Amino acid sequence: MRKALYFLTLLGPGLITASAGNDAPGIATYSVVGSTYGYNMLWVILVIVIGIVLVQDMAARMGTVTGKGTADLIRERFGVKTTAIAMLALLIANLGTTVAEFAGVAAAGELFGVSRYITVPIAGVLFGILILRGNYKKVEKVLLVLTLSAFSYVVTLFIVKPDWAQIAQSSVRPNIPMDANYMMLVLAVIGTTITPWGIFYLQASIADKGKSVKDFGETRLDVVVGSIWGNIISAIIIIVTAATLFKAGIVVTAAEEAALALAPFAGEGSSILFAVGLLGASLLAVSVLPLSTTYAFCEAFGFERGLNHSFKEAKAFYLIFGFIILLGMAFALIPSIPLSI
Amino acid sequence: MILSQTINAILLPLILVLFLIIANDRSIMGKWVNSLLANMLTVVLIIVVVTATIAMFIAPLIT
Repeated sequence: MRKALYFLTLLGPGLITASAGNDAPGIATYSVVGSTYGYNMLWVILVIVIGIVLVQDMAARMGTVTGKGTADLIRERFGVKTTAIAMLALLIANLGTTVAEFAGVAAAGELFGVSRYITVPIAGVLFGILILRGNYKKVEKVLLVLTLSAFSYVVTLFIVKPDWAQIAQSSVRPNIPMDANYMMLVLAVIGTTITPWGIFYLQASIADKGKSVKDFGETRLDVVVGSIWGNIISAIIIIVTAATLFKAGIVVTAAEEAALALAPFAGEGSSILFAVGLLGASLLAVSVLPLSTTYAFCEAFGFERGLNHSFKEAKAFYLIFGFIILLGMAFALIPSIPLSI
Repeated sequence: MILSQTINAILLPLILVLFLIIANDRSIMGKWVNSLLANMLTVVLIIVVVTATIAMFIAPLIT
């Protein structure tokens, strides 16, 4: 028992990053994948498990050995110009995803009947304060608790009772249509798991946490277990939507549609569980994603950064963070924002 | 929402190439440089993503 508890304390950046990978746009992606192609995309998850462990191990290794973040290393090795290009790419990718996270909070809240004009500002302010006031350890604790919301999908899986034989068969011999939509979704599944921001976040938080090289075995464990768990959840969401919606020929285009559509097949409870998972993931990502973007920017341009610094010590860090949160909130509150592209 | 994730994937190879260079640099990583396996797998990943990206853009033109 003691060993199991000790193991749990080892979990940290790896688990958080992997869980944030199953964020609102991730859940939307898996729901669309499952309802559109059934089990014929599960093979991508198998491929991604190798990919994410590989990439995050590199990021963790670099963070542990150098004590620096990705952007920092890029600047030192390649100079400011390449760094600026990489930052531009990161910013484009991240802003889109950040808006999607707040949209996820909005959508999940509305599934529970709470207006987005209440949930979005509260989420933004609550997590803004958490980041502002907490040090790394405190923030990590809160984020780890949020990762538990993923268990709601596990429960849903048992309610839905999918055909495991068919899952196995489709995973090994998938039916792959060679069209642009399929490719776009394959890329989306890859892109929502092996995210550029996830890479930056993992390395920066490991550097921030201050783990030493001799503890790298533990760090590696956190990364591997976190990544595998994250991918299991991804697969479960695909399976749940495939077993219910795909079978009935219902194609959804957004996460909240999936949550609502589940009710006739797996009961009201499944909709609530799905919504809980969506809310937890969105809240987690709402802190992680702006934080990741902020780490990267500060590293790239040499600003003082880190949750263990006070506001006075690292003004740019906290101001950039606040700005991104406000921007994300603002876009998510625009009534006609297209959430389901 | 989903398009933002596709964009993530398209930009991934850029980051991975930079990664590969840094992770193989002995002056930065010391004895913790990438193993041959890690290098090979990363290259495979880059190829898979680039291929899927090209396929996505070409598919409407040939089908």
